[in-house]
Parts: sequence; structure tokens; C-alpha cells
Amino acid sequence: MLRDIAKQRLLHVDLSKGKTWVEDVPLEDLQKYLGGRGLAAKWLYEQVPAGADPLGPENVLIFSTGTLTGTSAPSSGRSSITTKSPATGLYLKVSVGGHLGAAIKYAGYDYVMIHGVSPKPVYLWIDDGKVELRSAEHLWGKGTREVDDLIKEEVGDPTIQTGIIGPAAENKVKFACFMVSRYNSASRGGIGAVFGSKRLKAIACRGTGGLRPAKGKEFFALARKVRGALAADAGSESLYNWGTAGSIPGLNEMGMLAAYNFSRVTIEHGERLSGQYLLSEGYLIGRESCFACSTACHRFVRSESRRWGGVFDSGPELETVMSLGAECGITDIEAVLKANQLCNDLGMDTISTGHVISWAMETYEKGLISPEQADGLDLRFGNAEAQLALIQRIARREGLLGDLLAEGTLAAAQEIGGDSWKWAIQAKGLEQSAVDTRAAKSYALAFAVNPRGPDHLMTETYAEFGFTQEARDVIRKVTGDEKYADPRLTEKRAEIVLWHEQCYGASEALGFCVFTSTAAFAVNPENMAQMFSLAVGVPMSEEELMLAARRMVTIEKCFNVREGARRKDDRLPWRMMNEPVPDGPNKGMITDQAMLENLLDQYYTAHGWDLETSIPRQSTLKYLGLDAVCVGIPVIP
Amino acid sequence: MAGLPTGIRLRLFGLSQGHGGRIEEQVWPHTPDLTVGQLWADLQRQADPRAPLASLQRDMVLALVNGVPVQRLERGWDATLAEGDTVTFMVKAFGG
Repeated sequence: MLRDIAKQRLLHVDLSKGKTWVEDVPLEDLQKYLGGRGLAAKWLYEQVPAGADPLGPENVLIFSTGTLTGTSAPSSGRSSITTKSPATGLYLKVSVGGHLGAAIKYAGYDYVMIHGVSPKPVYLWIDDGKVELRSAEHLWGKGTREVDDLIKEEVGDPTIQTGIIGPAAENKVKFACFMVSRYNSASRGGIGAVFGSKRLKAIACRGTGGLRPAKGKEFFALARKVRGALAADAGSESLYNWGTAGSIPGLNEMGMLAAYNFSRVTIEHGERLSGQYLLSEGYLIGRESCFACSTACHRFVRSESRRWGGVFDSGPELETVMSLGAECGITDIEAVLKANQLCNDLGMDTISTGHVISWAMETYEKGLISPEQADGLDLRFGNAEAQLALIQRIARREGLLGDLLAEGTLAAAQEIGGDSWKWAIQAKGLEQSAVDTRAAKSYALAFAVNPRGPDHLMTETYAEFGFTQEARDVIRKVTGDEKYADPRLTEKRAEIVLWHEQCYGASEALGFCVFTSTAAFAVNPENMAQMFSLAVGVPMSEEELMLAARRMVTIEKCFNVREGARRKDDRLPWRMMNEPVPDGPNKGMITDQAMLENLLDQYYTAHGWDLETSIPRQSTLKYLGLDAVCVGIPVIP
Repeated sequence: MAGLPTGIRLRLFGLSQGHGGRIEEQVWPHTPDLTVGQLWADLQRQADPRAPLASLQRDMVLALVNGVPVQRLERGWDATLAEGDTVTFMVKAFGG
């Protein structure tokens, strides 16, 4: 059965009461917020009161499909999950690929909002229009892959789509993740721990319906045209060939590969962590697309390591090999594949897992963690065996160190004390992505203002490197001159970050993979607006699309303001601001306090936010039509 | 002058047949006024025709001189190389 894309439906699930109900989404809200991440930001603001415990019943989980998810728009199969983060106590959105979003769409829903806490472990089973909470007591404690098998066996259909938490989330590890379609990770900010706190083990879905764009013929023609442009883009070819880990050799040669807990920016034999190495040495055995994607950057690897045991898994992604590999001083790719598989099955974000372990390694080497505190593990950099043991202990909160690291780097550093906070590579309580930002100023600014903490998954300003003509064209369009395609410059960084965060926001609201719009540039604000308009049947210009994205960014900011976050919280990890790049071509570079303050002034000014506090001004909220939405924050005219 | 660097230290990645994932290093003779672009052209001329190096368009190459992308050098691909420089060539990769 076909459903109009414009007629969006929100499925509510109250776990405390065991009730479900459906709400229609007003068309004007879809137009104003673009759907997906945009509407979820508004609902989170309305649903979760200030000061609510992220792991308590007042928090909600909002699973949002993109507005174009389920259509043939290229690479539009992504979904977002929005909640209040247990890692930061602030706004959290994670984005994920796979096929679950499309299945939920075809089952008749665009959003699923989870309320309350279930008295017993359950999983949500959506079978087209039929919604059911089923016991998950027999699944509790089990790894994500086994649970995927068991649920499919239980419903008697191996083709259903799932999203599942592992033991780490049940144990409320602050960086537990949610595994979608078995191999795709919704990772950051402890999203899995929120599922665990609600005793919601999984979402499983079978959807057999379809979607109808308002102007089908024109929509499909445009989608086909954009797909062709995407296929011709060099970025797509690279992503297909090597995946995201194809960037490793370049980063290593340019001195931007975070290694040894960011104390170095290159690592010897770093190329052994690369997608190219995985391909040439025979580890890569297959590729897979997320829904409606023609790029297929997702990959499968197999390893028959005698030392680490056999591995069959997806990935590993760039951030995974950097965090579990270079960050911990490990270039044995077979050990990294094993660590990745463990994290996926136990349900932990590989970025934060790598970071807490690399922090522990540095702290151990500096003598602030004693051998007794390390529970007998030799935690020196490069010890993959210790890393694998620690991953298990963190997920199950075993031992003193396992339990401590499960709280994240910030909490661990506060507990261990001394100067260990200085090499805790975190801000707002979130471990930073493994890209070194000291020689890339747009990245640095984007990381500092990111409402969920310092990572690349809210705004990736890849174009500032100017490696392709398309990237330089973006910089010219945004700043007026392609000479600003130089990451070492501080001028025009606010303009670059604003454009990227809006492009990123629009991409996610519509369900596009951001690789199509901010790494490759075939999907752009102009054709996104056209596709939205043709699918939904309402006018949407490029300017209106970017304004709607700015609206969502502002609500996300206001959520954090209401929680007490201010300018002082828009920071980078101490090491990034106080220790210059130690070696390599960017030796001596840094984004220090004064430079960051200058960048923040540019950024807040461009947004219409108060310079002293970073609070969005009332005039800005009014301009964006948010003055009646973003209530309960200090009023600054 | 024994012990001092002679020539250009050349690092190639993913450009030769059968060496997709490994760094290959060699020393290239330095000649006066040798530019990055000329070095790349010479390499292509001498390459095994079956190797990716032989047919790769320059737009697709990440070229670094002492770790700095050529786009950031004042003369770009026309930048002159000096004795002892390290030059890296690899196929551009994208995605983070």
C-alpha cells in the first residue's frame, strides 16, 4: 500500500504503561523543520524537561527516518536517533545507515518516540500496522549478533530489519551504541545506554508498504540525475574502493593522524590500518550498500588470525582504525579487526572505546594508574592483548578499571586525578573524533560548537582542504574566494562552519548520507530543496532549506542552553588548545584559547547569538520562528 | 658529503601494480628546476602501463611535498623541488 510522503506519522510507545498510539505530523511542521532530525530536535525540546536524568523515565528516544528515506533519492536511507545524552547531559543526535529506517517507513511510520521505562526487558516489534512489545528477558545479556539471529528466528523472517543493544548498553556504559541492520552502528554519546535504561533491547520491523511522492515523474527523474552525478564523483569511487579508511595514508603523511592519545600525529606503518591495505592484503571480502545508496562504502572483512582468532565483520571505518589502532599505538590490523568486532557485538562506540583505552594507556605509562588499579593488565601503548581484555571488562563493568572507564574519559580522569585530565581528549564529556584539529581551523571551530561534543558527525568541513575543484567551488560560494580553502587560516571559518552545519542538518533531515553532500558534493542544497519539494508537494527553495536547517541547529543549541551550557562549554580538549602539534608538516600549530575565542566571536555573530553567553538572542529566535518553541531560556533581546 | 641526503625521497602509495596497500620508497635524482609536476610526469612515463600510476589523472592525485599538499604551495604543481625534499604521491581518498 502506498502512502503520501507528505503525510508523516509519529508512532508513540510508552514503555511504562505498555501503550502505543499514532499522531499525524502537521504538514506545516514538516515544511518548517524538514522532518527527520529537524522535527526530532523540536520534539526533544518539548518532551524532555530541563534537568531530566538521561537514564531516567523522563528522557525520550526519537527514532527519525529522513523525509526522503524509502525513496530512490540517492543515498537517502539514513535515520537519526535523538535523545538527551548520558555522556554529556546535553542534546544528542546520532545518525545511522542500514535498512531499518526504510523498513519503518514501509511499515507506515516516519518516527518512533519511546517514552518511559519498561518494568522488564522488551523489544518492539513493528509488523506493518501492528505494533507489539515482546518480552526480551531471554535476550538480555546477549551480544548484538546473537540477538539479531534470535529475533529473526522468533518472527520467522530472516529479512526483517533490526536495531539492537548489547551488554554494554544494559550495563549503562556511557558510550554504548545501538547496532542497526546488524552491521551499522549508531554510536556516539551513549545512545545505547538510554535504550538500556529503558530496558528496550531492540526494535525489529517488517514493512511491506511503499511511498508516493507528490510529483512522482519529476521526482524520479531528478533522483536519477543526482544519482548519475554522484556515481561520476571521484569521492564516490574512492569510498567504494577503500571505504572511509582510505583516508588513513593521506592523514598520516600530512601529520593529521591522531596517534598515541593525540601525543603524536603520525604513526610508523600507519598505512597498515588503511582501506587500501585491507583490500590489497585480502582482508576485504565484500561491499554492501545502505538503503538506496549507489556508493556502497560499507564493507565486510575476514581475518583468520592465529593470534587473535577469526573475524568476520563489517567495516572497519576510518575513525575505528584510528581510535582502536593508532590512538592506542597499534598497527596490527588483525588485532584492530578483532577489537572492532568485539565492540560491535558488545555494543560500544569504537571512537570512545579507543579513546578511553588510549587515555588509560598514557595514564598508566605516566604512573597515575598503578598495576593494581589496572587489574594486572600491562597497559602500555601498543599492547593489543590488553586492549582486547579491557574492551570486555568495560562492556561488563568488570574490575576497578573496567567499571571506571565505562563512565568515559572525563569521569575517569576526575577519579584518577593529577594532571590526567589534561590528556583526556574530550569536551562536554564526549571523546573527540580522531582527526587532529590543531591544523584545521574550521574543524576546530565545528568541534568546539558541536552541541553533542567534539566530533565530525554534526558538521564535517572537509571542503576547507580544497582537494577537489568541487570543494573549492563550495568555499568560493560560501566565502567569496577559493583562497579560503586553506585549513590553516582563521578568516571566514564561521561562514564555512555555518554552511556545512546547515548542509549537514538538511542532509540528515531528508535522510541523505552526508558523504554525498560534504565529501562528494553531488547532493547539494539546491537539489535537496528540489527533491523535498517534489516529494512533499510544497514549495522549498535552497534558501528556505538552509534556513530550516539553521532552525534545527538553533533548537539544539537552545536545548543545551536550557541545561545550563554557555560559551565556556564550547571548548576543545585541553591538549588540542595547549600542546602544539609535536612533529610533521604542521609542527607547532595549535588552536589556542585566544584563537578559539576569536573563532567563537565570528560564529556567534553569524548566528545572531549573544557573544558573552552564546545564548541565541530573542530577535534571532523570532526571525527563525522559534520564539514560541525555545522557551525557558534566559531572554536576551 | 657522505651521509647527507641525495636526491628526492619519493614515497608512492597505491600506484604500482600489486602494491596497493604498501608504501614504496625510492630516491629520485634531483635535477635543477625539477618541479612537482615534472616529477609526476616523469614517473608516469616510466611506469608499467598496467599500473594505476600510468593512467591516473593528476586531479586524482594527492601530492605532498614534505607533508604539505601541493595546493597549498605558492606555485602548486609548478613548485620547484630541493635536494632532500620528501615527495609523496597517492590516489586521493575521501570520507571521514
